[in-house]
Amino acid sequence: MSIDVETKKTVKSITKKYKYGFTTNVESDKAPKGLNEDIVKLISKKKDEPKWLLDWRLKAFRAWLKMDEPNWSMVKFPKIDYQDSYYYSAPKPKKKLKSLNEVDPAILSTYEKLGIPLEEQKRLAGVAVDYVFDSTSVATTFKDQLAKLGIIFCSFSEAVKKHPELIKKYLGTVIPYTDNYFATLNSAVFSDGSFVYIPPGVRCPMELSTYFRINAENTGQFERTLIIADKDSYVSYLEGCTAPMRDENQLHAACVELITLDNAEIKYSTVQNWYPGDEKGKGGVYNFVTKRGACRGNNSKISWTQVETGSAITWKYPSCILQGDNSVGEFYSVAITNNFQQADTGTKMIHLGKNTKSTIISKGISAGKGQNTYRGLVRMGPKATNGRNFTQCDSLLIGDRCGAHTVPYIEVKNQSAKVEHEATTSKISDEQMFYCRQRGLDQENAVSLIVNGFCKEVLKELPMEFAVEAQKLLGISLEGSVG
Amino acid sequence: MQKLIKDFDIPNKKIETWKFTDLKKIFEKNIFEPLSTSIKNESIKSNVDTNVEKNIFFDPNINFVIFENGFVKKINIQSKNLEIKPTKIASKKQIIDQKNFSRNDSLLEINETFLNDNLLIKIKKGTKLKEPISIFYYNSEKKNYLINNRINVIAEKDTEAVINEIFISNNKAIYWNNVHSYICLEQNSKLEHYKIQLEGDSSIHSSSSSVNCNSSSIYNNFIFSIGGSLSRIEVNSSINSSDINFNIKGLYLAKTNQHHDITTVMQHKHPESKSNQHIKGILQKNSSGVFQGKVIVSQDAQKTDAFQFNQNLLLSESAEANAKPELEIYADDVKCSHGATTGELDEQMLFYLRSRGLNKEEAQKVLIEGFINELFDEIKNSELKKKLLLTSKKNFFK
Repeated sequence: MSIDVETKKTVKSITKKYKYGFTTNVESDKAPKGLNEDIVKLISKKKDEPKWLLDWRLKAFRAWLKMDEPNWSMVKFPKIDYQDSYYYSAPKPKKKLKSLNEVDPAILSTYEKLGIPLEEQKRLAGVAVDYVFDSTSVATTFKDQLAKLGIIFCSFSEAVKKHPELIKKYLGTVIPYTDNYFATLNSAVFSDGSFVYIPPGVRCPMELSTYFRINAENTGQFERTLIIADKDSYVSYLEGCTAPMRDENQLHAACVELITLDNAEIKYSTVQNWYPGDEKGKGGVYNFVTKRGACRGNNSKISWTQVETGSAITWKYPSCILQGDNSVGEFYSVAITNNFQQADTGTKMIHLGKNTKSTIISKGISAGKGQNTYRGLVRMGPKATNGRNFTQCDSLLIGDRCGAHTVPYIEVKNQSAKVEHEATTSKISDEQMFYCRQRGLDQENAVSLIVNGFCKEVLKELPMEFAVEAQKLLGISLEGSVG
Repeated sequence: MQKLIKDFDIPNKKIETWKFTDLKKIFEKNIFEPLSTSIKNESIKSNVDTNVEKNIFFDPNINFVIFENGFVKKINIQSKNLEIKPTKIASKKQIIDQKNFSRNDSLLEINETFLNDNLLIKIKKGTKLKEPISIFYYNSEKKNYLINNRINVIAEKDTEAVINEIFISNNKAIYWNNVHSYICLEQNSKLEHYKIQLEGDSSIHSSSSSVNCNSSSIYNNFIFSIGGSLSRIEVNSSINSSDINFNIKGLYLAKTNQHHDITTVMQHKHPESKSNQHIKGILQKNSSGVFQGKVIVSQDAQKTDAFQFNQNLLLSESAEANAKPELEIYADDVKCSHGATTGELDEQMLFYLRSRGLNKEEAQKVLIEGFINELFDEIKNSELKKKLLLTSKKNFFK
């Protein structure tokens, strides 16, 4: 036993409650509970969608009916009643918004509580933020500046109206509507999301960012994001989320599709801090996300960076399909599970083209009764000559009631491909703690420091704006665990 | 009613632990019928096939057992305090605790249902066997038999023994060998277990060792797999106490069109034990290799030291290597790590050797031998080491 009982108690006593637990009172426009073809049609109609998109949704819905919920992951949760949830809710549209002043003050104050005042961020950080407030985009900033470069950054529903040709061409090409249970559900009932198109030769001058927030009670949120980087372009996309405190479990099944053409690069960063449930494991968000990127062009690159600290259950495998020759895939992940949180996360690197390279760095931290699983696949296709992969997954255990698991799949069908995998499991050593405490750090700060050091390789991949927030989050998420 | 082989669900890709090895597919093309025990009496009359006695691993001066075409043909006991005899005990219940080894496939059930011979090997308390025990499984029939045998080993308190299991054939035989061993290591016992799989090219091999370890026991396992069209070798451990040392060294040499699978499950249930696994594979044209290893460390198994390493060498464009090294850890004060690498022969090393005057083939041979020798160096018995190296050279890289 590394830490005595008394220390455990002390730490527990200073445990803070979930910092971002609050609800905003905005009237919601809800569809009736339950899921059937009519609901799918209603969602589509509310959004004024063209027929082809409705047909696509319906095809997905019919496919979903025939599918079973996957059970291969190492997460346990009570059976979800898909009929006991709202599939559509949007803040009531008052009138068209021209400036931020017209945004519902209640919403604005929510973001202020989160420490991201819209105005300030707009001016100081140079970040165009596409706020998603319960399924519908409320305000989009910096549009003009981006428009000058020909960059399209708007809500998904807007894109369906204004750029149907792009949506039609790319939607579902990376994650087909039959892909998996949750992605198919999303395809049928997705509410809204973000759409980004970077034209050839353009380097997006700012980090594009979306803040997700679940708000209305019992609303499953089904975001759909599509990012296309055309030839020789670059974009860095930030996604971050916090959610209010809830008793009932909330389902979130998002889909993110990335496409890079020749010489293009997408950097996708996520900080996820949804409500993880209380110390007894009650409540918390179910985060079942399908994220996948396709490096279609030669020399293209997709890089995923994620910091997963929230959610009761995380089920997420941001993947790269390396089709183009010399394309590069990267996955950097930090996943923290505390109390009763469960995370089953990892990546898939599918090497198809020649000289494709991928790097996987995964850091899992388990505390309390948390269960953390890395599940990953590295596949070298027969044509992936000189393919190269390096995988490192490290687990840190804090306390003797948590678990850390590693489930890598390595499939090599090409002689010249080189694949390396290594994994370690360790705990915070007494020496490390002693050293920090001796220099005057309290228990909590010492743990935070050591964990931050453990995750450094991943944190340094995050854009500046996120790095600071992420570091704080690591500390907050581990409060109440034991060093 | 008598169960038939078709009543069983032959392991296939739908079962997670058989993701990379599909036995059913082969079974659909080639039906194997369980060998009926009525043939037994005929088989006993004749002499031992000379192929067994000519085998380089055969030594008439040690303890040995010969299985021929599915049945025990000869038992030769040299050492004192050693018992080897056919038995009727249901090993699942009496030798090891069934609960310790849960499985989700039908191989053991098939073995139990169609069991041909069931052998008990008991090393009595305090005995340190000087002579090893060699068990030969020889097959010469082309009759698509499914052969089910079982070995039960009890190493009593304070014993030491070496067991060699050698699977051979006249290379024309067509059969499916489904052989499982249950091993119980009592306190302070030590067992060296060599499994040398040299089955015929048209055969299927499936075998497993379920090892139940009690305190201060040592189990050293060496797997050498080179024969068969499809081979699946499993090691399942249950570490039930402290101060146990469990080692698995495995090597598969996959010749053209072969499929080799080594699957291990290491269950650390008690604190302060050690396990070490090192599995290597070399793959030639159209062959495929699999390593699946799972290390489970229970909540109580603090201070466990578990290590797992898998290396695969691809010698052909059409070869395929699959690996799934898993860790499942529920205790915090442990040292667990695993690694896996897959690649071809190093260009620079080849260049170095060739610049010293070796031709391409010679240089490759030197490197392959080096790759294999890392494992062979662990074998203490130099005679056996030499024979294994000779066998590898003869069959794999001439």
